[in-house]
Amino acid sequence: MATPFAALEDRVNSAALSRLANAQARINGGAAIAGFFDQRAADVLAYAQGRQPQFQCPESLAGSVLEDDAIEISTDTAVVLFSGRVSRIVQDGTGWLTLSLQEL
Amino acid sequence: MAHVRTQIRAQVIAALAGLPTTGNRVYPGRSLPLDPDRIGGPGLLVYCGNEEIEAVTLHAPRLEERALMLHLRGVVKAGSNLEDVLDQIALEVQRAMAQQLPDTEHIALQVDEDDTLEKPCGLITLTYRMKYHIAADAPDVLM
Repeated sequence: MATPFAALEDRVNSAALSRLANAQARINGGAAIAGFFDQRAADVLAYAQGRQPQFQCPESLAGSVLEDDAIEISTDTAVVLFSGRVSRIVQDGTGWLTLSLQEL
Repeated sequence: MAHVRTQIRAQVIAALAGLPTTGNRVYPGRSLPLDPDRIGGPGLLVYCGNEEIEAVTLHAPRLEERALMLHLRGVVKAGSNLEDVLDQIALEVQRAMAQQLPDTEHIALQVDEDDTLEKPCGLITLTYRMKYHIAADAPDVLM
């Protein structure tokens, strides 16, 4: 049986996903997974600038994703926002994955 | 006339402009990071760094021997061939410097890479030492 806090985490995760998801991902051409897509500007190595595309989603929906898997991010209306590969996978310990993405 | 440092920097930029990989994307003293995808390809940053200064005469105005550190930094975003592009920049810069500024001495090469942007990103920094002489009261005149 889930502890009260774990149950609360599940409810918060579920509510956040259903209310705030802004994109969907298809990994290796599979089913659409709802989540949060972001590609903020970033500076690296002090002299270079670019974007850091990331997709966050519940681990239960994308638990089998592997580094180098192909990924396409799109809106609900099928506008493609990003196409590339998964470069890094980080688990946050509360049931969410953060996928760092790179262009091919 | 401008300080000899400024004149040297202009000479270096003229020597490096139009190289096959970095083209005319050569920037002097740029303090902001650059995005190679937004400037049309890999870029080159040119900086005049620190100098060692030694007086070689006793009487005033003293003759100064100066050793200037020139930093030439290539900035690249690329896929799996990132290191090849960085090496190609080094090849082109070293050739141009040897041909057009033969009195400079190549003393260091540093490579840095980062894998957290939308494409792998790398820097290659070539450091040259350039000796020159000026009179202490005329830093705009190369001797």
